[in-house]
Amino acid sequence: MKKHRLKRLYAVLFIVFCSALAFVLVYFAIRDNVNLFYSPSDLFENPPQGRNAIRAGGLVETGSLKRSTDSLEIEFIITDLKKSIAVNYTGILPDLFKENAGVVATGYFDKSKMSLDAYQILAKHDENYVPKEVKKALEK
Amino acid sequence: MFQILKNFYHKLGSYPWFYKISGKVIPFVGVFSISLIVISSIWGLFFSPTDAVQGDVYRIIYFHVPAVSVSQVIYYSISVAAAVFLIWRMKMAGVYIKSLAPIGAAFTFIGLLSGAIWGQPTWGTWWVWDARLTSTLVLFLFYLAIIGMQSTFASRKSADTAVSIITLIGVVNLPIVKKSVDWWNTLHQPASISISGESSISSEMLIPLLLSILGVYLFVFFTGLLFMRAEISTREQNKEWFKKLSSNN
Amino acid sequence: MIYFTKILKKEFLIYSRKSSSFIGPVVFFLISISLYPIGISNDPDILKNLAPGLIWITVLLSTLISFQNIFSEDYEDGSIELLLASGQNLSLIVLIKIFVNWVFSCLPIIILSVFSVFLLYLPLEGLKPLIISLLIGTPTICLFGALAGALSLGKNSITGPALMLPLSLPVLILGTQAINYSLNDINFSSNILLLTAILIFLLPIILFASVGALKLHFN
Repeated sequence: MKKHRLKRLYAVLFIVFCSALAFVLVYFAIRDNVNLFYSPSDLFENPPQGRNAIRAGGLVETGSLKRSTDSLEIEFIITDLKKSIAVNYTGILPDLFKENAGVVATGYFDKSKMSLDAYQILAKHDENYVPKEVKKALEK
Repeated sequence: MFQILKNFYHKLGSYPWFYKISGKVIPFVGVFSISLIVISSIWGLFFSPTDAVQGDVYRIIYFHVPAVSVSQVIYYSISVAAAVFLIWRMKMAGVYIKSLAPIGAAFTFIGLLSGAIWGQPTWGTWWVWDARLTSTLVLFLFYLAIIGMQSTFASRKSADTAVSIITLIGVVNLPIVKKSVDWWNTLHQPASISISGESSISSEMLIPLLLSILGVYLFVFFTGLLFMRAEISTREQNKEWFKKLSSNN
Repeated sequence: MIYFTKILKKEFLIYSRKSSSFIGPVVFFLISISLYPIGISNDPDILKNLAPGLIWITVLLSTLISFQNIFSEDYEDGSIELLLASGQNLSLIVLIKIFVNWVFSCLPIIILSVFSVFLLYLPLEGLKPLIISLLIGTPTICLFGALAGALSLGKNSITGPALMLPLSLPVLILGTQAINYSLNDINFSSNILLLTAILIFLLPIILFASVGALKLHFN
């Protein structure tokens, strides 16, 4: 490579290196804010400060779902198989919400009761895609 | 071998050579890519099996995954072109960036839009500020910046230089888009297709998906050639070779 | 490497011989800092809340004075033209110039800002974030100043450097926020990391842009 091209190559590498380094620093600076939700274990170890709304995510514990008979109020438990927290919510649930499936709840956290007063429920689905018939056959 | 590659590289920089070759390739690629997209869409929408968890909603994967995947590949390729432009001052690299950026922006937009349409019934929301979605939005903004920068400079050369620098800075965002689902807690699920390991999507669903990805890649190749030819003809309209060519036709 | 130290030495010598270049900012800083208690109030409770912002803004304004002569003298005596013609690595020379300018115009102010803490009744736990944020934030401001100086070469006015004031807003916000965080017992390390990220990110871009701007004057 000719000398002036080599010089420009170094300049390009310098720009890319510096911006990569800057992104790494930004990543460390906002590390705690990048996670969309806290797992129940996180909430036990470092309960969030202040009165802002937080998101908690995990699996809906099997058998924990309680629906009210005369309103849209529901209660369930989010678990990450180590710790678990209680969630109550009033409203319509997404189609994919069910027991033993992933869920992310947004709301106000009560530290004394370790429970979440949710105003939004999002369903989380996994990356597995299996035909209906195959799943039925597997379960038999 | 190295000599052949070097010759090819030098030829790539020549406008008349590119114009001649691309004109021959375009019809084949166009017909092939569009028929692949049609076949894979029909296969994916009507013949692939229904998903056990999500039902028929999952079929939007046949548009979502090819779009976001190609939008990232386009960005990688234009950042290589940006480095080539800055180091060797190859004008063709500037043409490449200018022509491919709008295509990349369009596919990122399709990816974001189809993701929103998919997210509403499954997650329960159109949009959430998780790491995957946000970094994809940043990718879209970088594309818009590249398109916007093109017209803010007086000379073609300084515009191409500034655009190349912006492009190179944006390349840092790509590994973040790719790895965000593994590094952080996100609402978006991890990747289903794996090159090294076993894919977590069953093969009856995977084959039409791979076909649609191939179709979209070829379609981008096709539109990319078209856009580049258009860009070359605007840049070179007063040159001797171009006048000769257009008077022959 | 020998070449590098030679230029560094030369720049240091030039700056140390012309005392006005580094005494100006220092005097400006000291006078304005001592005016605040008189002009606003000498009530410690009021000054304490204002101190982080006041110190940062004053540092910003006092460094502004020094940016005019970062390239102007070299432009007037023709040495920039010579450097351009000689084909030397101009970005390295610009980097050295910015560094030496920082050492002479910003470093003394940062040292003196220790005293401003007492004059404005800033609690002592605010001293550490103040010094760290100034040490990392002021080089970024010098970069902006160098670009403005290169763009407005030959015109001896304050408008060029003043153009960089809006650009330095993020630095100002992150710097004062770091001090306020430490006063409220909140971890301020993320602000320092972001300041470092801004500096590293802008360093190559502004360096090459200033070289380009310098070349523009001789085309």
